[in-house]
Amino acid sequence: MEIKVLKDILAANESISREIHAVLSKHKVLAVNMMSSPGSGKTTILEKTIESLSPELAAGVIAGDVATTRDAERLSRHTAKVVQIDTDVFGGKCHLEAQWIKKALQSFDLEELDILFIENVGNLICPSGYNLGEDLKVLVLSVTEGEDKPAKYPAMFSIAHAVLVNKIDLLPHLEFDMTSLLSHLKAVAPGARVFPLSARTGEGLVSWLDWLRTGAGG
Amino acid sequence: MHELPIVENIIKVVCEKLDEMKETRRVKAVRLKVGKMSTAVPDCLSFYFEYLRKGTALEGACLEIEEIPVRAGCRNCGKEFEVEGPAFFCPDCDSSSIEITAGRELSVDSLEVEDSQWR
Repeated sequence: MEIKVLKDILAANESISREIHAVLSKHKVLAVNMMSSPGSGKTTILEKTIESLSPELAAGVIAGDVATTRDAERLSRHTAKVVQIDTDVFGGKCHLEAQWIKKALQSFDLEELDILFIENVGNLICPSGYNLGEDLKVLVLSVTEGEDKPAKYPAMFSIAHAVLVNKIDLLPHLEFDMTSLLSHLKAVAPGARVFPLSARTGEGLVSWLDWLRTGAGG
Repeated sequence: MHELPIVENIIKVVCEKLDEMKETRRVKAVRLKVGKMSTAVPDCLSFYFEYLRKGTALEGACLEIEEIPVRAGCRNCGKEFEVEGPAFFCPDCDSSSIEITAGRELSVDSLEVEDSQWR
């Protein structure tokens, strides 16, 4: 005999995600979920971004570095508030879940915050399945990773509002085909804004910052 | 790796349903719908299920997984179609303004219990 269940397994995460989004919207905090593979330069981008937005916009960060507190230490030099998701020495977490974000939010004074960056675990697969109450999903892809990554990880790229193509200062040393990357992105993430930039040299950062300043409306 | 907590959740959801219905008949199968873009791998779900079902009401149950293809609708011409490769545009009008309508599912659809009372 069949018994219908019809239960979404990720429903609990979805419901906490909606709760987080409601709280952040009420306090007019723009939440940005930053996702990428390990080593794409998320932390450096955040350092430069937070520094450039200050003092106009007060930023906070939830760092999802799962095995060390290195990212949080780096970022705390640039912003008043960094909250680290619980770590364990072997780094078993493959993505962040809404329940951890909800807990981390208790450490922020949301009245004093304009923008909250969530630095997800470096992984191009699992984080795509977990909403965190964010307004924007931003993917970072560095040019050393190769131009075909959007085709290899379509589930991830398809949900991006923006893609930051980082480390463009290295282009003269690589055989990286930017046209090919853009056509892969057009195929899997047609609605995403693309910002080629170098967090190291600062090239291209302005357009990304402007986009954030307008609440991603620009 | 993240299939482990997902399977724990599946077992929790099913056991809650059985409690709620005061259902004591043996569960023969748990049927899942798993979208091809859900980030859960069917083989891994089955592997962890076999391990985690021990000692629960699902001890004798098997996992039946229906994989859901990725489908999309075109906002421009209204065409509905299956997305077969990592390219999200309309096969008819070439528009890239499409909406994914299926393929991210991860849900417990139903259970199959034995027809007769077993204890």
